[in-house]
Amino acid sequence: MTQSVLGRALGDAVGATNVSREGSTFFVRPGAPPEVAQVLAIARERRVAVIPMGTGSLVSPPAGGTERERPQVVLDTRRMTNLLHLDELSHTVHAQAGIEIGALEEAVAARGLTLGDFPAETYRSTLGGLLAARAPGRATSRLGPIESACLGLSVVLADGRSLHVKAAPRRATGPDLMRLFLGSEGALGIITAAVLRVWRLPDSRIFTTCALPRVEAALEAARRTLVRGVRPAAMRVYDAEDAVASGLCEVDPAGQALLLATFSGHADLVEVERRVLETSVQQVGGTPLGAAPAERWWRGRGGPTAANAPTKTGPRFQVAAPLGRLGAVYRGVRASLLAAGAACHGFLGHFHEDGGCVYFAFPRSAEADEVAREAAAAAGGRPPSELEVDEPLVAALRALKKELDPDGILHGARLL
Amino acid sequence: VSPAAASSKDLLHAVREIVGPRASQSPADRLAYGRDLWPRSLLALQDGEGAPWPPDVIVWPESTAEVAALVRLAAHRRTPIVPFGGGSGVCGGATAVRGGIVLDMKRMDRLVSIDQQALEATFEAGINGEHLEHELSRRGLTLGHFPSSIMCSTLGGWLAARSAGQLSTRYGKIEDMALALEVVTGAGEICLAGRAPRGAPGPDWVQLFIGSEGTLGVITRATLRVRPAPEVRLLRGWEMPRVAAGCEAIRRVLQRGLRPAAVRLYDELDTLIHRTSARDRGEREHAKSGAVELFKMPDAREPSELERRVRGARGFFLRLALAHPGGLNEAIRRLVPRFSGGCLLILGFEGDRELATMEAEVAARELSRTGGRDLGEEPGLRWFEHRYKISFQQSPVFENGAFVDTMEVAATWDRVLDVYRAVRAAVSRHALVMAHFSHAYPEGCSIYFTFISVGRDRAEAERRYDTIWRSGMAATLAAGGVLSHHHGIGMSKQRYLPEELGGVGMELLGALKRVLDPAGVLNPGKLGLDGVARSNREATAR
Repeated sequence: MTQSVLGRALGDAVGATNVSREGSTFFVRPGAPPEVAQVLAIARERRVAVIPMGTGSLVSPPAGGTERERPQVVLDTRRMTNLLHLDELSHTVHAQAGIEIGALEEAVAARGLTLGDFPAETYRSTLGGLLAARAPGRATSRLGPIESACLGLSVVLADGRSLHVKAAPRRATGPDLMRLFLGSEGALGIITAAVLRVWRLPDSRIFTTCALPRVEAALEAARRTLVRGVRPAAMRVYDAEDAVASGLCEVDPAGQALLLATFSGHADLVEVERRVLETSVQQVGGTPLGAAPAERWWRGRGGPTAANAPTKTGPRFQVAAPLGRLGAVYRGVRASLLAAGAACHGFLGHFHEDGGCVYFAFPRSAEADEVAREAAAAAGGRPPSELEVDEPLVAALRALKKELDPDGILHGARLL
Repeated sequence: VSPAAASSKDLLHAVREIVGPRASQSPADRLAYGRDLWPRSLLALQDGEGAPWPPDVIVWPESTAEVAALVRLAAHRRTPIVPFGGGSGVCGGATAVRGGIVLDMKRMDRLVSIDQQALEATFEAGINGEHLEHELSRRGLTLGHFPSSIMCSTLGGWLAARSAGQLSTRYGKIEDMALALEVVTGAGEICLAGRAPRGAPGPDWVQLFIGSEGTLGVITRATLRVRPAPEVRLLRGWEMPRVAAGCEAIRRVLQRGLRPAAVRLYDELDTLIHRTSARDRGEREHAKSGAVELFKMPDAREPSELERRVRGARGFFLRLALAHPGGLNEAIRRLVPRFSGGCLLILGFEGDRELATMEAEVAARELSRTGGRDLGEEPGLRWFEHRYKISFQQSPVFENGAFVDTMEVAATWDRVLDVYRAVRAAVSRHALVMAHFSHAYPEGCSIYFTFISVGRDRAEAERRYDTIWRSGMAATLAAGGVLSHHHGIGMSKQRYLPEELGGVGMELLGALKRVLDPAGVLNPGKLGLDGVARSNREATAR
């Protein structure tokens, strides 16, 4: 089998102009789900690896670079960009997987709806890419993670057949089959379309910034607010030094920690929500300072203060933790890194009922990462883990992969 | 001694090596575990047939290690093994249809740990729902999961069947509450499925075990999100002019971003029966579903001779009427609007005092705008007081020789009224049918149909029962709804499942089954898995 034959077969499937080649890697851009199935059939027949590519930022790079002995196919979904149906009664949108989040948000916003505060850095990501990665995605926790907004899904399996899960508010019809594919990075199937829940554009958005004696007090105020059922659109916590360094603060908070919050929704409700937060802040010895720093942060959140934005010392190291453990993780990781001779900055964000995230910036290296990971785990955090750790489930995932993709054509390097 | 009896004795001996005396083959136990609350099997019970599916042995494990050993034994012997909690399921899901071992999980009922700061609690799966909630409420907490079966169902059953409680709109359904599960797979391996960290690759196993109805693993423990008990609970009744206006009001409230705890809209007939029965009882009594009220006497004391005759006459006329449900439904359709004051909507908010009060206020404005009339707190409080009754009210219907069942489907708002009308039209030729709308979401809601009918004899009743389900499910699917919102599939709906999930969906289910239960011993004969599991074993053999 020569590579030019492979190239021709792919060109027949998706149109020659939609195939390009770099060394032994073919970039293929199918225009519709049946073409995805055809590409997979060709790959199956020729035992060629297929690497799905949707989101520029989240794509897993082709293994071994583009110069490999064996040919491989990078399947780029970005020609499948149709918005299939916007249901303004049910507040759902059905779109093909290759549509960019920014374009989809723009389309629904024109009808007074929103996908819900996706940060600007995800705007170039595709819908399918975000779903396949179960990416952190949304900047806010008010509306939950992206998979909880996914009401329907279409997937092309390795054998070329399609699964269609029709949109429903909820179903008790066996395990939720969509969950096989959300987070599986294309290793079990290629997502071709999804139905997402959309929301009314908020009538009102308000801000508050509060100064607190320490980071722990800010976290306690945040915890009290969340357990009372308040759902801020977003919250951030900085210590005094990082508050100044982030450029969010006009005045030095005088050794105090900062809690920034924004609320969105019905005008009467967000006022009550802000009052509950400010009451919690006062209960733990803090003071509300007004809207300005929080508003500045929110308006510029796609910029340098974005959680996913790289810092001078490399990408941020993220640790998720339950609400009651965040303070220990924040202190523990910083202390361990300092003891190992690495300066460490950080802030806390992405708060929701189940916990929050600490975002650390330090000179990244394998050793430093290991120190941070150990300290985070010791403090009760969930540091980024590459793989599922439960042995029987790892084995089950391997077996499942074999069931669904016996020829092993779908790229699953990170998964398996 | 017959070979079957010898093998059954041998099975008892083998399980006793694992659990000691906590195993039984007594006729009474085999009878008690020979069915769940699937109404079709209650028809058989009514006819004097005790247990359609008596297991060979019932076992009461006390630890995950014992469960694992029992599942390994079952896999080794190729003996079916069926996890069993409260037995309150209404789809035949917890029945040993191929015999074998019933694994009663109710002795695994401990609170393992609770973290008041992180608001997480870990329980063994066999704990009774009401006991679980009690453990939490003693500490000022709540799970927020209140199915009407709460007093006769278990945590493991909730998870396995994908349960939803009456306050799900605020607290979420069981899948939203589960943070981690301990599960024994069909190979007898113990796994710990946790919530995957964001960005880490792989499917979310917690979400794949939830809803697996005992076919992929035995859930032995769960870590749950718990919440502070609410400061206030604000319940109100509203009168909506029609079902459509009521649905519209619910949609607006949810799409406003409000999170009511309770949302229930009763259709005209359900509302009328509610009202009549409430009046009968001097406003003291009130049932969750009005349907069964038709069969009840004014109070629970021993009836007098006169009352017995009244009850007999009422039963007679009802049976007569139910034998011709088409005419009955038509009469009701014409008459109800004359007597009825529209549709009753119960809306409740709870949680933080200030927040819940404001939510209720904003909701009230939406309801007034959609033509709602405020009926005050009374209807809401009455509903709350009697919210679990449905699970204990079916007997009077069956005692009158009739049958009752419920069909809970779901759809997005663009389809909700179509599904409602289509199912009503399909079922009303065979049964008296009424409905309420609950478990609301911004994108849709569930429709909970109650139907009552009767047959001249058991054979006719079963035929009619099957016809009702067949036509109701077909109408649901044709109108764009889903088969089940929260009762699950079990045995009763499995024949409709392929149309819901599609052939590829069924095969994915089969792939999960082969991976997690290679010996095929976990709860066989359910979830439509027999066909797909077998077809693929054949494929593998080929």
